[in-house]
Amino acid sequence: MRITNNVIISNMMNHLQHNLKRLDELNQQLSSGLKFQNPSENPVGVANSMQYNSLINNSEQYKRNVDQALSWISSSETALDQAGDVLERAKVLAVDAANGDLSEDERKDIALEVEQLLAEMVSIGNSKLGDNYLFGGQKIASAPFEPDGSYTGDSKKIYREINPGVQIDINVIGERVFGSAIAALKSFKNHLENNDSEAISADLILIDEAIVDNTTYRAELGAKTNRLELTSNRLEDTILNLTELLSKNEDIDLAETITDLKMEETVYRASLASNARIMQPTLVDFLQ
Amino acid sequence: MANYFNSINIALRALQVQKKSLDVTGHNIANANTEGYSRQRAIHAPTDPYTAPAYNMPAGAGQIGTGVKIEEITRIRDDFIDGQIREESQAQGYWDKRYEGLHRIELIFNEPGETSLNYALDMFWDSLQDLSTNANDPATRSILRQRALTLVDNFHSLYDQLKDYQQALNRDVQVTVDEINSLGRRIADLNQRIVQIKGSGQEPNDLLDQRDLLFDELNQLVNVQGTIDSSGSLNISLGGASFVTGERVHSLTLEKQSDPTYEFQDKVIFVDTQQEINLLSGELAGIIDIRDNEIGSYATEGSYLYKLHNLAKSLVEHFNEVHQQGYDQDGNPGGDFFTISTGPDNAAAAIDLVSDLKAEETGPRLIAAGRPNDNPEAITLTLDYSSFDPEAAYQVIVQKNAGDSSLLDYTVLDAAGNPVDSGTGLNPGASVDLASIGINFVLLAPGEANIALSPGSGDNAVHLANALKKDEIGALGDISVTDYYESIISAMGVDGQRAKQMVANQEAVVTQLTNQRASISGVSLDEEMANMIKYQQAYNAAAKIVSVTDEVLDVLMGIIR
Repeated sequence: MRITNNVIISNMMNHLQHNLKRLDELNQQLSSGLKFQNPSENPVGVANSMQYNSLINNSEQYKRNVDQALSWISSSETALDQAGDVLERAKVLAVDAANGDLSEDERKDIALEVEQLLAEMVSIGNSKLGDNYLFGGQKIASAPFEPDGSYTGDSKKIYREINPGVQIDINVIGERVFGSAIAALKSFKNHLENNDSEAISADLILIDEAIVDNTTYRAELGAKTNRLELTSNRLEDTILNLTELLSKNEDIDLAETITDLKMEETVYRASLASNARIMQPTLVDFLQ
Repeated sequence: MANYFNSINIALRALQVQKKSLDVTGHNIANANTEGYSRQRAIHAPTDPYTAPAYNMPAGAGQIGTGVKIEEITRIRDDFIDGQIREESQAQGYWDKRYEGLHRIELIFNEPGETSLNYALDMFWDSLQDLSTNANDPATRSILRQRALTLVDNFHSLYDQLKDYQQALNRDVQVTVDEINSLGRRIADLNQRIVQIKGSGQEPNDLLDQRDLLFDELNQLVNVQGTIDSSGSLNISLGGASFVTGERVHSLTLEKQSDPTYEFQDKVIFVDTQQEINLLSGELAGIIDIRDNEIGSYATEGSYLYKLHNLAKSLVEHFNEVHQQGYDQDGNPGGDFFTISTGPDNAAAAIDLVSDLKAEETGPRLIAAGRPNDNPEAITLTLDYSSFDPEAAYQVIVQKNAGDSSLLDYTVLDAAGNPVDSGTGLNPGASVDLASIGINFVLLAPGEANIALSPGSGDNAVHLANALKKDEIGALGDISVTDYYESIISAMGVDGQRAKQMVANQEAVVTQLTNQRASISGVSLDEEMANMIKYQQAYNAAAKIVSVTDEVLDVLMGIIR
């Protein structure tokens, strides 16, 4: 092949351009921290990144759903704890009141306290998380219990999606968990006011049953809390794993990229030096 | 018998020829950096020899040479490489423009990024999930509406940017066509002068170089083919039709399409025949490919505007369908959520929120987050909202028939637990119409279904979220909205990568061929210097012959004196 001056120059320009392009690519990678910016640079990589980002976003959303469900359930648990305390107190009073030695006035005094307990129970039944009533089924905007203890909520479950396609119901229907307690307290109060000590012994059984109901629901909520906490942990793990995958997929390896940059720079400098030597002399320099 | 003056003539011719050759060398050096210039060579040949007549024979011993002449001044050029370069430049032009276009489209979609449609879809989905957990919260509803608006804006912005780029490409087509016409005219002008000079027996090397250069440029732009006829003119055909014949040019022009769907997709036609040109490669084909096939319109299957249209349209239809199955914060049935406004044909440009939803105060209340039926296994329910009391709650209990377990019984209870209606011995799939309370349901299987509207229900919000990420939509090829969009981006990446690769390949091929051409036709200064010395020496020697002959003649004349 016959080499002319222009062949040398055009080859030189081509190679310098090529070297500069590589340098620019590496420089872009280093300054953005990413292996690619556009789909055409790495279609599979971009598709994976999009997918990981979406999955991370989904998991974070499910995590928020779980957290929200957890706060709902823990508020419900607190309310049920309080209801349990009220029932325990009612039981103590009932044991007292069942004692045949008590006078009518003493029973009336107890009745006053039981009335307070009933009001307390209704108020617990109307517990709220934020603006929402916990125990009214899906009727979360209005108080589910009237002051007289009658239930106005519905019996519908509230569901939270905690994983794709996996739903968990988070609410306890007020009528079921407080219904027996309120009924027992009401009847206890009536019998106190009527000074009916035999009926009060029967109320004691009702109160015990209400305590059992309360404990059952608390156990159920506890189990749900466990399940949600597990889910929450798993989602956190998933987010961590996905974030790591995303990072592996799109983040540059700093050491590797810097080494590459150094190498390219050396090549670029060498080509500049060699070109500078070769371009200058021609036969003209040696002719007198 | 020697002729003294013959030597002087030979020397004179030699002087002239060496001088002319030096001129050619000078011309080469002067044009060392001229684009498209091919080095020239003065081809030396001996002049016709002379047979000296003799006394006793027709000719003396051998023929006597009469010196040197320049037979022709020729340019060093390889037509085969020229042909290859032109063919590859057409492909290079095409892929250059195609990659440029695809890259621009990539930047318009801006994936992956936080201003992209994908991000807007994710945010919208987040809001729907939030709504499902907090259906009664005005703030959640407002945020959802804002994110829906952002999504709509994203569609509009993608559409507008693609349309703007298409318009710019249409201007590029105009500019390129003007350039093609201009190149054609200049080639035709050169044809005229070349034919003239060739007719007079000369070789118009520099004009040929110029014409070759123009033809190279033309090949970069469009798929042309050239043939040189016997008179020396370059006749060019473009996609099978004649473009330049001798000194005549059949110019190109643009024709607007009458169908407004193809706005900014002007056709390139011949002015005289009105025939559309057949584009295969070259920059023009690349630009038009991006303009018509990649950006295209909602009616061009496979184009980005088509895909966006398809995506927006399917999203609107499916999302509305799910939205209508719910009820809003006031217990009214869900209406449309998105709408496709009349006007633009492309759904990506026409997608919008229905106007009621846009109202600042009342709009967010209209988002249908709730679903009336929470047990779809037992019954499928339709509510006649005109007579259904939003505050009422009903319960439907479906049981196996005591006598025949394949049949079903049902009871409808009101909120207080009083039976409203009942039936026995019905087949699964039987429908029950209770118009008086606005319930209409189909029996499916034993179980309980609660029918009530309550503000706390976010059940439909989950369905709405699924409408984006999960539900398979037939018009999108049985994949979800987000999957379809991801597939658009994947395909875009693969296309772009291929174009990028092709650009690199073509560049390498063309560089290689151009180097080969430069190696053959390019001026080497070293070589020209060597030639210069060669001709200079020959010139000196010829001059010496003159002076020697002069001395010889002097001697001869001296005898006489």
